[in-house]
Amino acid sequence: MSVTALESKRLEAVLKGDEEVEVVGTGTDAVAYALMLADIDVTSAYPIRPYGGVMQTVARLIADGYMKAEYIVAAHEHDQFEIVKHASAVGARTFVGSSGVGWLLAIEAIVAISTDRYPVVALIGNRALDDPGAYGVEHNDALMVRDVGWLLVWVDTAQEALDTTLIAYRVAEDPRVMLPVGISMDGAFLTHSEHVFKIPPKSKVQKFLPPYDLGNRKLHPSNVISVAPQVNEDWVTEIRKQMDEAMKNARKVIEEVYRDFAKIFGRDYGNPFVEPYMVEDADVVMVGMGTVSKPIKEAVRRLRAKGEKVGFLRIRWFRPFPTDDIIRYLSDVKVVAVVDRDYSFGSPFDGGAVFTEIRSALYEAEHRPLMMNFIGGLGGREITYNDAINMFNMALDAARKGKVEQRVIWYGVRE
Amino acid sequence: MVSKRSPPDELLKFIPARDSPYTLVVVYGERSIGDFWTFPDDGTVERVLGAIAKVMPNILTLDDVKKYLESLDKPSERVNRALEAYQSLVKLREVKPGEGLPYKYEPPHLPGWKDMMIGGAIPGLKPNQRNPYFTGGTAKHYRPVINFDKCIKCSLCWEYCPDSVFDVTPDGYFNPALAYCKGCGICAEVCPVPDTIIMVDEMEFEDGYGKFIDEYRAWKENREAYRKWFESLLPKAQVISVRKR
Ligand code: SF4
Ligand code: SF4
Repeated sequence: MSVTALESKRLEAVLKGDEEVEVVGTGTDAVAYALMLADIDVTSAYPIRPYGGVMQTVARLIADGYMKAEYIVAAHEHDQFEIVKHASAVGARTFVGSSGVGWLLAIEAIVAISTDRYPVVALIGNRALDDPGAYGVEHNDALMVRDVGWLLVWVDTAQEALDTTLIAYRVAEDPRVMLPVGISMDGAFLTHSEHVFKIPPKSKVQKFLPPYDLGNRKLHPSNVISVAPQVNEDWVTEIRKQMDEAMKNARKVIEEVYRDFAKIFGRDYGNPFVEPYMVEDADVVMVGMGTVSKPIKEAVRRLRAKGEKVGFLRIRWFRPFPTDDIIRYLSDVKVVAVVDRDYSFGSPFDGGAVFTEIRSALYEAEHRPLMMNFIGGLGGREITYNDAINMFNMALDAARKGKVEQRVIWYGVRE
Repeated sequence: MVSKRSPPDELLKFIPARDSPYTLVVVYGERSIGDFWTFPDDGTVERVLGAIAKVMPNILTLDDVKKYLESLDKPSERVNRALEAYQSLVKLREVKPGEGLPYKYEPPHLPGWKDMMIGGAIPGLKPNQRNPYFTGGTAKHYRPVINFDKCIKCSLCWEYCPDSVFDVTPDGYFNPALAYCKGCGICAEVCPVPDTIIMVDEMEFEDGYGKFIDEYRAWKENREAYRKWFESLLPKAQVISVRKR
């Protein structure tokens, strides 16, 4: 399917004019438009759902002349990630992505991308890991790389997906960071659902996003360097330490980049790391990542209308982890209830990954809230408005009693 | 324990001195990297086992060695090699502290994480630059000796040497910085003039480790003496430019 006449008029406008245009599209469409605006040079594709939509839209934009980029169809996901690693090494801005087990098939190349310090941007259309086979969302695919130097961010609307893609390139390519970014998008709920969003004009994107510059690490005959050497114990500690520093730098860089984004595009995300929703004076705050925000925010509004002091904190950046913001927003509430669309079997309290990290972040806090964990929405099972109300009621009950009876709840599991 | 055809005293000229006494054991035979995966098995392992049984029976007795070798393929051939070493091929030499080549090992300076390029990238060498940490010392088997009288300054040795060993002299010759030479013999292979680069067994020379001779300077200082020296080495050369031995 090629670009429609209407879409074509809009794309011309953002590519040539100075105004943003409003369109309707899926979460993956939004990312594809961002790639067009970011002027990526190389992308490598291998089909897997739910990430695959982005490659379809990119293919269409290239075929119809709205975008100039090498579109390389890979033999498999490992190949796919190797291709962008090498392209990035010679100075190409790259995009790649996958879902679930596809992402994991590429894991060797994924780790090499971050340890070789190439600022690749990837979309992870979050999907449950096989087996058992399931197309629906779970966050364990992206979380698999939480320890190896990938910045990880979760988005919850198509607009945020588009904006975050532009932000991701700017953060990743910053000389103080030079690490890849994985943008997580809930499979189906966001990858495939249609939203209204605005495409900013390319003229503004050019002001926001300078050309990709690898500096003295660019592989080129005129810049003779060796990369990815076998180094062994004399060097590995130092190389990992550099990554540690880059990841810590990223916190500052992310703040700067969001400030600049607000200035240039006029869309202000406030706190870049987390989205606090009615958390002021809250007794109970629910925490989650991705599209689970929708039913939870609705529940917050209705419960607030009834006088219940509840709020929601959506985590955007999981790596680097927003420890300070977690302490700021959560340490003074009575009960923190974390919704994990993931599992971490055998973790300290047999809870989810987000729960465990938040618990650890709060250890240093002066006040520590009671904590509950809902493992839910696995394999793409929906978390509805009613589910969110139920979860809040359990948390409010714990707040009243001043004690948590069941720390980790497998929400909705059939007995 | 060294597998070599030279007597221990000869070898000591090449072995860096140590602070503590030790026993140098020479297993008489060709130097060998037998059992290394790319080389044919030449019985080194069996000879070394026989030698251990001879000098350190408290670690391994000859019976142990036999028992082990008999469990492998070609047992009698293997046992004979071990026996040969055990009976006649082993020479011992007690080495006193300070005996040997005066040489102090300088561990390389490793940069801190702030001083390194990120991602394990390593800056390449500029043309004519050499990596000071990549000296071969006396570890090479052969070294090139240049007959400057015959050199036609074609620059092929300089161009082909994989370790950028050759320095260009003001009058256009190519002088090997021997500390960096790995002894690969490529220069001798590519030199187009007969008998101009020869590869000679490193054991023929007593210099080494930071005090390698400067061939070009020696030639400049006394051409006649250099010519004689070169001619004395020619019959011992392993690879000779243009014709192979
Ligand atoms: S032997 Fe090899 S390393 Fe040595 S100078 Fe010749 S080419 Fe260079
Ligand atoms: S290759 Fe031989 S002839 Fe040519 S410059 Fe070197 S030594 Fe001289």
